[in-house]
Amino acid sequence: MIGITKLFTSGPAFLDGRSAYTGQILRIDLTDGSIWVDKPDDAFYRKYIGGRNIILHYLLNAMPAQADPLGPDNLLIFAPGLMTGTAIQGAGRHAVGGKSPLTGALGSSEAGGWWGAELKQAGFDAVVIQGRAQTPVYLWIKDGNVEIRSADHLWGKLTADVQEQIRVELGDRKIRVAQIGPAGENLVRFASVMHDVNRAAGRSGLGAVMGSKNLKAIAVRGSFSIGVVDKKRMTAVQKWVNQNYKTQMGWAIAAGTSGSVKFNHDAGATAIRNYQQGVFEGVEQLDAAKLFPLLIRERDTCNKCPVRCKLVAEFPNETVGIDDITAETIDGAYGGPEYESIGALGPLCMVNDPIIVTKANELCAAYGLDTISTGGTIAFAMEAAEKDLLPAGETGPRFGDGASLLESIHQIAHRRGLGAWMAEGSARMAARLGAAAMQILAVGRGQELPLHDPRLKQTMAMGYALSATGADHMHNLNDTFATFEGGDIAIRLREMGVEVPLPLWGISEHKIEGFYYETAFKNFFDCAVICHFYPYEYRHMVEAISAAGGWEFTTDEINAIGLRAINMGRLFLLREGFRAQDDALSARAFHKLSDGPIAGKGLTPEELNYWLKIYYQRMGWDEQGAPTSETLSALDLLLTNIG
Amino acid sequence: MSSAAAGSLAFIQLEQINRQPSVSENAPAPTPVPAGQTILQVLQSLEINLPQAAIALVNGKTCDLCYVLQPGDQVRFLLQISGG
Repeated sequence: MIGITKLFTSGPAFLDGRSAYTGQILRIDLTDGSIWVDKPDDAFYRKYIGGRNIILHYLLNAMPAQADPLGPDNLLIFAPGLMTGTAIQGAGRHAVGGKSPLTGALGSSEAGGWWGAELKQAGFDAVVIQGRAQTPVYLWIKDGNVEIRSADHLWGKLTADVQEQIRVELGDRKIRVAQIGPAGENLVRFASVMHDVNRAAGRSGLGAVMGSKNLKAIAVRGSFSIGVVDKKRMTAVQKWVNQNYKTQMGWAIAAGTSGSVKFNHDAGATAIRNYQQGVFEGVEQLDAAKLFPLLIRERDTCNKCPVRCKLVAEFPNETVGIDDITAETIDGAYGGPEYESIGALGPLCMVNDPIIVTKANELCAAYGLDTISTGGTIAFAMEAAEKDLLPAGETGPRFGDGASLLESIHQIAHRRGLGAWMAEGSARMAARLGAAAMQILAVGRGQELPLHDPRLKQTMAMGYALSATGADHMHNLNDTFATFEGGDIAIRLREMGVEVPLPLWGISEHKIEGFYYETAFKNFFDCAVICHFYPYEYRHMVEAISAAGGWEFTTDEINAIGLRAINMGRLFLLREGFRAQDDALSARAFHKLSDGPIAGKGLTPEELNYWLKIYYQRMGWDEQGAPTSETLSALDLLLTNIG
Repeated sequence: MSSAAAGSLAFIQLEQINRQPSVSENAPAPTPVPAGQTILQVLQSLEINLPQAAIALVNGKTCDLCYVLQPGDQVRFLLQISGG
């Protein structure tokens, strides 16, 4: 043990029923082991709520400009939100953030499970970690006490093993663990932070930030109960969920996101063969209808969520593994694949074997890798291999070859062979390989595109180019979800005065209006932190935030929370050196297909640039995409220090 | 239905609106409808409510519900399931 500090002089705020926040943000400097607490006032919590806004507040105010993402000055921030751990359904989530080593831009990724709630129960709204430990360490946070412990014996181990070992050595099976696997230790630029073994804060390489600090894990255990100020008001929202979730979230109950594989493929939403092909024979092998009888043992869920959308996959006697994971089985400890993971590791790489794809998903959870960037980078490497663009002596993985898909994941995690190239991400790999490789790249701001094809979902494509985190499908507008009158997106847009349904194709001022409000709301969700699958309307969130914070919240304030996140994200980009020309997508985002349901469709770069300028105006940004002082002032961001 | 000439008909798989066929099923014969209106208008005139989140494929291509049906168009629906 290296350091131990007892921090509480008084209990967390919610013990007195004053709020659902604790009032304490834990600060740790791993360089010298110092530990202290920020105690923000009520106005801070009302302005930011939590999650992404807390991440951005600290990145803008407590981190020097243009710091090396893998250096000691980068911050690694774990930020639950005001809602996390309260009784409202869908709040079993928290955010993780820092400067991204993949994109050089914002890292701000959410994870489900139980870790975030446990941290609040332990007395902290967030943990902000700076510096770098000399040797591997892990943090042990229990009911206001914080220890920095040696992790020499854990370094190099897989995520399921580490969680077990920590629980045994600390003598408590209810401990929740956030951790990196070998990929984060090896600074793979798209390494994830895993929680509860299989819940990923996946995107943008925050696992590498954690690895660069020699921080293997954060173990938490908390016995304080999280209260809200107005229990009756909160209970009313919970009741609405109980009465409606079985119908409105029936899809999630039935099969989770794996139920959308066949549909997405047939609609043209799933990219195939690194964005080259319109139809994938055998894709139905990867859909829930086939996965469930073959592989899915049971379902799993997050803190206080009745839906149970998660999959637990298990398969006996199938030899699919090589190297460290001797896999005659698929291990249920690692969960099961979501749609994005299936898409990135399946059709994108031309693999339609459900065992291989599920095994690939397991390896990503065990090593701590973002499945979207892993699949995207391997698919890029597969095409580069086919076109003879790889470095001399490297054969590379092959489309449709499951063994080479799995081998590539092992190589990436250990930076071995071609894995040393792939571990840098497809954008850096393409830049090193040259102009022909740049033509087959599929990224936004350096991050591999999600499996919602930008050629079909063109307003989402604009969102990919704009996002401060690099291409992201969650704090974005999904064009095909807004094409019908029912559903939560239509309800929210109608309330904001946007005519619904939105047209499916293209971008327009009308769709930008929808994008403006929906991205504000989704960013609010990522501050609260709330699961996007829940069909909450503004009225539910107004009631829930008011109940949790003891405030009279409004719909305008909900939007302001999200707009603050978007504008602070923009300020962060500007500070770190990004400019309007960096709001861009790489070549494959524009490559029109010759077959399939979206043949001939897609934006041109000129169209994208045209609509970006319209969006800047709508946001109150200048032609360079910088927020004006009026815009910042209206959001109470004018004094934000941008270094 | 109006007495439109055969050359101005489009064809819609209405049976799929409330369920997806299994892979092994043969698709039943599609319903002929007049061309020249949007898909949504045709469905409204037939008093058919699309379940939430259906996407239309016209001749195998993803289309908006406000797409104007052309003579000979073959339309089927995909039932969208949400999720990220």
